[in-house]
Amino acid sequence: MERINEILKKYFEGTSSLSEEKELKTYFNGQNIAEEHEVYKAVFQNFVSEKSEQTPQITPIKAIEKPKRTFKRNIFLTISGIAATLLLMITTARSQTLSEDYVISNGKRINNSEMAQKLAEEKLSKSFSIINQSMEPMDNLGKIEKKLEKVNKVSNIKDNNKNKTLK
Amino acid sequence: MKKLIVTFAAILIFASSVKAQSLENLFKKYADDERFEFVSVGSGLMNIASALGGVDKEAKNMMSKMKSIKILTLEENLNSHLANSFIKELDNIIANGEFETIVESREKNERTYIYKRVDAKDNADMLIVTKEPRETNVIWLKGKMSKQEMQKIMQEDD
Repeated sequence: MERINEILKKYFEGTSSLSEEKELKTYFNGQNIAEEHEVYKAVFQNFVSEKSEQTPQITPIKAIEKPKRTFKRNIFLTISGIAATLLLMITTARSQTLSEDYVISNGKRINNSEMAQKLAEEKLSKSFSIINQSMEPMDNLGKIEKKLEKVNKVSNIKDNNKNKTLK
Repeated sequence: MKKLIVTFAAILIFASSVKAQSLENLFKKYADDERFEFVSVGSGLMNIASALGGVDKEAKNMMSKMKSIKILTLEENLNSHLANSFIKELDNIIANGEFETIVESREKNERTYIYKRVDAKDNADMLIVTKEPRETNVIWLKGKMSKQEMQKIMQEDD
């Protein structure tokens, strides 16, 4: 009994050895526990129950079996992949067609509607002005022809009047 | 008989798409080329038509029927290899694309040509080509117009 008291003292002082702690465990696990030691029974029996507890098995992530890919699942994944790609392509194409006003200068695309319109206007005006310039002599010729027609009409009227008076 | 009709229709569709593609391909080919400048206007074409000064009513009327404009500009000597090959390609497309010459003007060193084309589906193309000693411009106007409408505008212009 004294031995147990001695070991208990050492245990609570933190100086007990492993073999002495084992001794305590077997004592408190047994049937002949002195009345004065009943108080500590719960503490040391806990050790026993702790011993019987097993640490849960930790299975490594790699060991987890992946669900097997079935043929149907594969097809579903492929189709959804294609659908997603198509959707992306359509969206991109749509956004490109929406911005129809742009300029590509030095190989770089500039999405500037105002700039594109201004440049187009300049180039169109230039082309039309070249055409107008070259058409100017034709216009003048037309005007001269019209004036000549008027002169001819007047001379015809004069001739007619002359003929009438002669008659 | 059905087969024959389907084959004939397929050939027609293919032929018309090839015609349209060639001009489309030329613009696609040179649009990203660093030596060229490319301008594309779709929605803002009406603004341009109304803003154009010195242009007669008929031309403005025609412009209003167009839905998009694409312009390719090459700032290089007309005698250069690039300008020569580009003009050759363009001339081939014009010759094979059933374009009709509306205007051909020569002013000093500047030459301007206007071509038109309307297909059976009323897809109208107007091509303005300006050749200057150091600059070549190709202006492509696309829109919807029947042959009759085009003819009417041309007659009004005369």
